[in-house]
Amino acid sequence: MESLFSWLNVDRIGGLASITGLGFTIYVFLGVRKIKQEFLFRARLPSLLKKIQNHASTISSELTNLPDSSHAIIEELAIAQVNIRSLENKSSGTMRLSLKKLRLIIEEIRENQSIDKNSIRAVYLEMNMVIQEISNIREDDKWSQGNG
Amino acid sequence: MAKQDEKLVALVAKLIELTQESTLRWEVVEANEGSEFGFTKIIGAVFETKYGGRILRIYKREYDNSEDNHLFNTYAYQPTYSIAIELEFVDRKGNSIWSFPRITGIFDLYKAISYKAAGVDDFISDILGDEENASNKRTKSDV
Repeated sequence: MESLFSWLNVDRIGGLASITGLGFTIYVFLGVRKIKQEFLFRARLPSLLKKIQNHASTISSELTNLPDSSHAIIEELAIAQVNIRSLENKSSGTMRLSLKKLRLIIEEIRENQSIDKNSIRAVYLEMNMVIQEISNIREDDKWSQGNG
Repeated sequence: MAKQDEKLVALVAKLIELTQESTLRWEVVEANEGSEFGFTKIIGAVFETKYGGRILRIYKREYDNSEDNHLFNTYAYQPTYSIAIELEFVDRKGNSIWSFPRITGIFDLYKAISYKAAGVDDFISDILGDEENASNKRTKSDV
């Protein structure tokens, strides 16, 4: 105990305090970053989700006119990919993984230019699965916050 | 996502596919307005189809939310409505047996059914076909 007191001088206390302060600063920085990300996600989610729903809807309508509509579908998928990436960057956890999976499927179709009915129907289904998943998470969120 | 939801989303996507490929044919039927509550009404056409011995019905229902909104905003009364698509199994008398929950893709299904039931493709090919025949006749008479 005596050796501890002899070891603790003003310099060392100052050093320990600044290390603790640095740790606390990092903790607050990460917390603020998380709040900012959460806020951005909540603010942008409704409009981005609506956009992805509209993309899915357009793709479903254009499916009846294949192969004439293949150019329109490619264009729609390109814009959908941008919106999905935007939502993916703001999300976390399982939602982020589902969005990434969907984005990669779209990317593959666009790279291979494989506009056949089956692959587009598969994308449409995957889009709807993700939209449903996000809608469910939103509903759960509302209830957990007591606004259900 | 819950397994049940996944199955229902896949089912609705399959119904869209069968409708667009004319494997599933939907007919316009009369709406059963009597079963509606005071704050809801059926709008647009009501469609029915038979598949595997079961009857499926789909229609648009409008909800009048004006009263609810009035409770929160007593100074400015604004009529507000929301629209939902109802997909359900019905019996032979048209009574609802089971309604699907709000699932992604039901709006697209209603759109696909309306497009097919209206015969848009046939109409376009009829009109454009007539026009093409007329222009062919004109070219022949010019020659």
